[in-house]
Amino acid sequence: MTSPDTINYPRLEDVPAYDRAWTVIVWDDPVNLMDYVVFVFQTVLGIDVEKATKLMLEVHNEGKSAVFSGVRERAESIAMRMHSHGLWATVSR
Amino acid sequence: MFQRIDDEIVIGGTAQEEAFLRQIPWLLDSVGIDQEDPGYSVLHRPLCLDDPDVDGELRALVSPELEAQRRTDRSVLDRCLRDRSAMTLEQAHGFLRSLNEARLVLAARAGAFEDGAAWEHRIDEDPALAAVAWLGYVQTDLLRALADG
Repeated sequence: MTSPDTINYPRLEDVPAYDRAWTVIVWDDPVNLMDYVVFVFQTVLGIDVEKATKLMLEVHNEGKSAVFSGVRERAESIAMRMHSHGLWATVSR
Repeated sequence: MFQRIDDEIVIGGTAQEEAFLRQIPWLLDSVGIDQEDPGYSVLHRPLCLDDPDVDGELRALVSPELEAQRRTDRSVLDRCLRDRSAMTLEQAHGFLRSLNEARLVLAARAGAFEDGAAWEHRIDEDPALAAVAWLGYVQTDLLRALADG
């Protein structure tokens, strides 16, 4: 039986690109209102106000936040909906 | 300015406020006429920074839907202001998105994105930035009304 400390997790660079999850990053800007960003996160990501506020503060304080990670189609859909609400979101993997 | 009654949002405000808001569809229709328009750039930001090919592919994929959504939102705002009709919650979301789009366009044209948070110190000297601040107040009031449910 393998103990947890002997598991060799693959390094990101060893994982083929087609196997990596797609991430949606939302970027800070000086114009969108904090309350509005929280509303958009709740609406687009379907999360509660506490989690949405935490993500908004991460965007505000760190300049960006990874708000989703998963399959490409879902990441694209989320990024598109962020743009339709006026937030700048990008996808990457 | 907005009041929630059951599952509808009623629009209030003065005639002057309404007249100002009714200029939003005209403002947004002007986006992109000038190829150097910063208002166009802010509404068409990249979707992928790592790979220009993926970015181009995504833009081609989402642009038609995005533009259609924006046109619908604009017409919702125009119709609701003109008819003074109560908005459904879905219409209110569209109204909110158009308000935000107008803020972004005005702010971009006034150089607010280059200034960072300092743009707020220029409100007294730039009427466009004063409009951005006022639209922020309207937006906050609509968010409050939506949350009243």
